[in-house]
Amino acid sequence: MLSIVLLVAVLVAPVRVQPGLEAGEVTVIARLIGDPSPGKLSQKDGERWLRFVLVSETGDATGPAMLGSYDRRRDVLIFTPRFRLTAGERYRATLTTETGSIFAEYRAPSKPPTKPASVAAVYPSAEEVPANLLKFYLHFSKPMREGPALFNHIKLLGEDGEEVDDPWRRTELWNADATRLTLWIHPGRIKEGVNLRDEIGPVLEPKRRYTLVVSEKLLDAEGQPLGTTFKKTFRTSDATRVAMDLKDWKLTAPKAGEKLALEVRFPSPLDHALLGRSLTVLDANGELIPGQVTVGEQERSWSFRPENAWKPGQFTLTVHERLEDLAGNTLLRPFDLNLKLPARKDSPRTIPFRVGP
Amino acid sequence: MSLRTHAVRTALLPLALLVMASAANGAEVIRNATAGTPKIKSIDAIRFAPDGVLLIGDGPGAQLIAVDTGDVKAKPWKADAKTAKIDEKLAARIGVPAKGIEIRSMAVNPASQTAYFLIRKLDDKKTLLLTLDGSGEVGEFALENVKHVVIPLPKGEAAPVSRITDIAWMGDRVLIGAVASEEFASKVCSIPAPLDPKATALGFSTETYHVSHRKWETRAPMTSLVPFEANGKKYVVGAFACTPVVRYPLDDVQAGAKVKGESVIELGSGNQPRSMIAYEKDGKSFVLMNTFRFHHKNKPFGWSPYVTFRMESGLFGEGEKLNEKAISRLAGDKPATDKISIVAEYEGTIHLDKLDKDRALVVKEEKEGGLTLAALPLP
Repeated sequence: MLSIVLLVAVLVAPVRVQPGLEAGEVTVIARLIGDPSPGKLSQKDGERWLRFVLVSETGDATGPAMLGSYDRRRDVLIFTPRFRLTAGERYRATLTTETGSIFAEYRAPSKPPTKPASVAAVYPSAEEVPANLLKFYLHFSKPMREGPALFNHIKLLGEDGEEVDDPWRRTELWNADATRLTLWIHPGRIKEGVNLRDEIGPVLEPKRRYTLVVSEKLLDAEGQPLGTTFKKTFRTSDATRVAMDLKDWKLTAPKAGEKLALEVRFPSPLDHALLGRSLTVLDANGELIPGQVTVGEQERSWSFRPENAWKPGQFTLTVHERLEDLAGNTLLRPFDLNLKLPARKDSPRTIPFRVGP
Repeated sequence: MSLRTHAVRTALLPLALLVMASAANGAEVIRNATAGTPKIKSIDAIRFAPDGVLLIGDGPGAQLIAVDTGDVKAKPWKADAKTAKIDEKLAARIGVPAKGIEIRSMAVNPASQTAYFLIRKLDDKKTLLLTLDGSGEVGEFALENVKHVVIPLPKGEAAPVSRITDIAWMGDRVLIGAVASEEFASKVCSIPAPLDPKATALGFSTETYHVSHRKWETRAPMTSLVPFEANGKKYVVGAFACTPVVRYPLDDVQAGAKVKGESVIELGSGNQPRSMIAYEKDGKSFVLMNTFRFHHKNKPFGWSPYVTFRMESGLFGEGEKLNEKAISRLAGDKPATDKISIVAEYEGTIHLDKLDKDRALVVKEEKEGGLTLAALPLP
């Protein structure tokens, strides 16, 4: 098949860019007479004969030759780029021989537009958050484009519509498929005793309304803008600067013989992502009970539905020390530990419960 | 914030920065390497160990990969080497306009002086390594069929590392700084040398002390690392996104331990450190650190938010009341001691690594726009 393509190509033009099967894949085919010898050529040797370059927006084609493999077969030199071409960009292949230069241009097809991404969910989902809120989780409907520019497209507005200056810690933290961004409010403006907070103040003040704005300019992985601005308005309560305590949790145990859920309610919302993976249920032998976890509305509750019906007996809900509330306080310590206060006793990390008949 | 101008003690304790010019005492850097293509999810950070061994941090894959590049033949750079529009030059080599890539990191191989650039293609999210040597030639270092070892990082209990922020070769071990995307914590992993597939990475958490009010202690993700020794003890100097430069003791660290650090230097609010290098000049030891200046728009140090500080290493080796002294290194936003200075020639430096004993290689933004690669004298 390739031989036929090569034959046709050689008959058609001395140098030609042949699209491949996948988007962005091409083969550059050039007709040569005489040197070089058959076989693979190094990048350096290949470039002496054939250069495949990106053409700039201004039409400049004098940039460096693209990396790829050069292969001489009979009277043709074949160049295969190492990386796929960029959709919509123009490229030029230039063949240089003793008699002069010949070139061929190729524009990589633009990608057909797809449905733009949207903000699918934002956590915390509660309408009220502590003024020392530590982070947002932004869930998108499809993978997004990474890169630090994204921080310029996500803003916080105060009650008067004025933008809050520099609210974010500019460290990108995406999940594996770039559908969830962890957006940290700059900790230096939250922590007590850090000069950033002392000098320019906290990002969020208590008892105010704010709007989180995700600009329509934010790009998805395909380079398309969201198209629609997303807004979420919330209000702030006083800052929460105490460690969590399990005695404040309310647990409702199910009955034996049923598959009904164990329900746990919290006095205030907890971190959505951590809540999903920080609580486990053990039987009296310390064996893990398999089941389905659901994070409740406004992250104020958690439920656990076992795979198998509950058996009567003693169980334990265990809470991992990594679990945080919305302000980064854990069971072990508040987000900021005041060393001048007496040390606090360790909070228990388990809640025993009984499943009765 | 009230400002304090305590006198800085001049009598410094003995200090020895670890120099990475060669494998210490001819010791092996990697052992039992196998040839093949490492399975990498994404590359977050790159640094070099001696003998041309490239250290690759793969946070999503929770692993360190050490690759024997075989790149050990020196290709020196010209004294005033400079490449304008380096982003365009690198991007064009892979057929992408400059706006289609992100230069995530740069590391210089001390064995060859070749610069390795960690590039992220924005359209397909692929990370790849491009090289530029002293001759100006851009190539790719393909992670295919390479001699390498893979060392898994501690995974904890379903709380994996999300992103590796920096890697440091310490002579007898490799240290890795990491952040998690959900927990606010500072995670550091230590892997003993020689790097062997059977080696076990030891993970520990770090805590630090806030200097300005002298009563708050907190956790914080570490963004850059550099090793040093003082009085026969090994430390790592870490820098944070929002707090000071802190030193942590490394001797006797146990797996899972929480290690408390001591603040050494406060560089002023909102300096987000990016990288640090250690060097010696005129008989003195220094650390050079480039930072991204948060809140630059309202409180600029210069035209660029990227600022570079030179710090005398003696400050890291002081023995007592470090936390209390740290804040005294600062007057307003600027250093209060001549042991710390802002290096004007490095303004705009986004990426930084040591090129040789006298020079650093930097990628810096230009006031007029564009990125330049330049070899600059160490200040």
